[in-house]
Amino acid sequence: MNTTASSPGGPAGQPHAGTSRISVETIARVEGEGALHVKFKGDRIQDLRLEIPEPPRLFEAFLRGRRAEEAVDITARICGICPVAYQMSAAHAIERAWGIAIDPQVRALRRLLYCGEWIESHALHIYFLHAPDFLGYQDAFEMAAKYRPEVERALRLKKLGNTMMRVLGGREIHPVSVRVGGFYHVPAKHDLQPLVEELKWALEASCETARLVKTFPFPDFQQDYEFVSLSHPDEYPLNEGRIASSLGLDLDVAEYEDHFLEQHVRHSNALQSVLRERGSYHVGPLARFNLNCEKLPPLARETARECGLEPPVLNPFRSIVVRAVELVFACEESLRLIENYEPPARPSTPYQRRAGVGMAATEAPRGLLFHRYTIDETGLILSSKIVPPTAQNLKRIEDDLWRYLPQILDAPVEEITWRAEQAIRNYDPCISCATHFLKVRVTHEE
Amino acid sequence: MLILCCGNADRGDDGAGPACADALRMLHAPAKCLPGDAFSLLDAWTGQPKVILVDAILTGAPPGTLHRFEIRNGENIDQFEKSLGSSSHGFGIAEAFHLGKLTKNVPPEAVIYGIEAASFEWGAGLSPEVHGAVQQLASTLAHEVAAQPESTGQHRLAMGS
Repeated sequence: MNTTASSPGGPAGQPHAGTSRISVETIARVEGEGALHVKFKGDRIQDLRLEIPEPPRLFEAFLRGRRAEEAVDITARICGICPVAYQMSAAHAIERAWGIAIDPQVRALRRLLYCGEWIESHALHIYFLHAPDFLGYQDAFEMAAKYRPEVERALRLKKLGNTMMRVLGGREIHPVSVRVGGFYHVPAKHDLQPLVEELKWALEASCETARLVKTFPFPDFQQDYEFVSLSHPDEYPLNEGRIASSLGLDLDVAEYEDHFLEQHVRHSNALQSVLRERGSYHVGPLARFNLNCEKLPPLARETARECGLEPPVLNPFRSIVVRAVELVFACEESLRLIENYEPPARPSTPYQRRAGVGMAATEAPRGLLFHRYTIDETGLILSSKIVPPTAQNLKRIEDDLWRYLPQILDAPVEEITWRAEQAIRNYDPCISCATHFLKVRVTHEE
Repeated sequence: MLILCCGNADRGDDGAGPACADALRMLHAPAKCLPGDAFSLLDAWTGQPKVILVDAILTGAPPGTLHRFEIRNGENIDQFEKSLGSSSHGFGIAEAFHLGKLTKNVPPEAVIYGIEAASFEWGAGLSPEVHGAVQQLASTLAHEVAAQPESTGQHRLAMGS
């Protein structure tokens, strides 16, 4: 962890005594690179900026003029942790533009592939990125010395997620099997059977994970969030549904841009999303759980109850518990999907290219991921829009810090820094997706 | 003997590992390229008696300098805590060894070849110095593989590509 802390205006450990400055150059355990600057005057925050200094990645620009089918593979390159999410949102958006109805078993296989990504991503975040905050370790390596079985469990869970990606997607990182209309190749039923025993182990390991994280000490902090996630009448949301919010939004995905606005702020190369005339909102596990918990399968629901999770869960630090419940869900759902799987008659549905606009949103591990493509009559992309979950949460993370940090201002400088990073990690930000890693600077003035 | 090449071909000299894997293939020596996070190293080297690792490195030496380090049972990995942080991913070879030691999963014998990088500029390709070092290393490793008595087709399969 490349973190430094200094307090030139006041003695270390007493940031609020006199004019003081805390500078933390790097926040570790997030995906990508960024910085947080906080300026205090007395016991008030004067300024707080979540800076994303990495250059824009320009994916939307270089998709222009490419064949729409290529978007599935090009956008997967946005992220090494959640490439499936990008593939799913891209494929579904283009299928909507071209009126392609996919085979129900193809849909089930895509859901299974997505479960693999959730298992990999959630296991990584719970154990390697977030748990050290709660247990008081600098990083997972320090934690592993005392929590070896837990770290081994995390590695095995992550390996299972990777294996599912390889079996269904052709390779572990940036899978290559998904295409517009379906898959290039679908597995035979017996190809999936070797996953079953490991998934049964993972189901129990996920329940153990939930039992571990529910005992963590959670800071006393709640916010009146507007939660936004997909919502499906019959299932916990992954790759299909309407966009719902805790304040009553119920939208077709095509209406997304009527309500959600991306805005540029000077200090960030990632755009920040807001709800028009309402401001920041919250996407991710907490939003999904609060809006859809009754659709969790039995064991996941029971695990949530055992963990004391009752919607609405308003403490963002408890997101780690919700992630564990979603791990249980992903394993339970995977087992169900494999049991019911019959290979489709053909791996993909034939289609005709045509001019049109297609929009889709799916639930990446970190939250709602929206894609829009405008396509010409020859099938080339005229324009595109990609709104990753981290961009949607950036303003919300800043808002959390504005409210949370004054509560802990009496703490030593090092602890304020630690807690600020922990609060940011509640959202499992993937800054790589939103543009890329995090540096923190806290300034105090009298 | 398993050869694992680490790095990101789209990050300038961090592509030294992938370029070395390509060069080894041209020389008919099998190597596995690991473009993703270093967690995959732990899976790749499980049960392997000897592993050779190739990655970019930053020590302050002139670009293209080839460093060779022998690691036995992960015991002397601490020397790399700072110097092996040049991967475009935060989790690199050193971290994989540390985690492997904690979870009792490190190869008994490992050799790390670190190629001193000049730049990790996105999309820049290899610097001429690193390109030259990669070719030289691939040639050395190919000879080493050829000299291995267990260098059979079966062994190639086990290593993948």
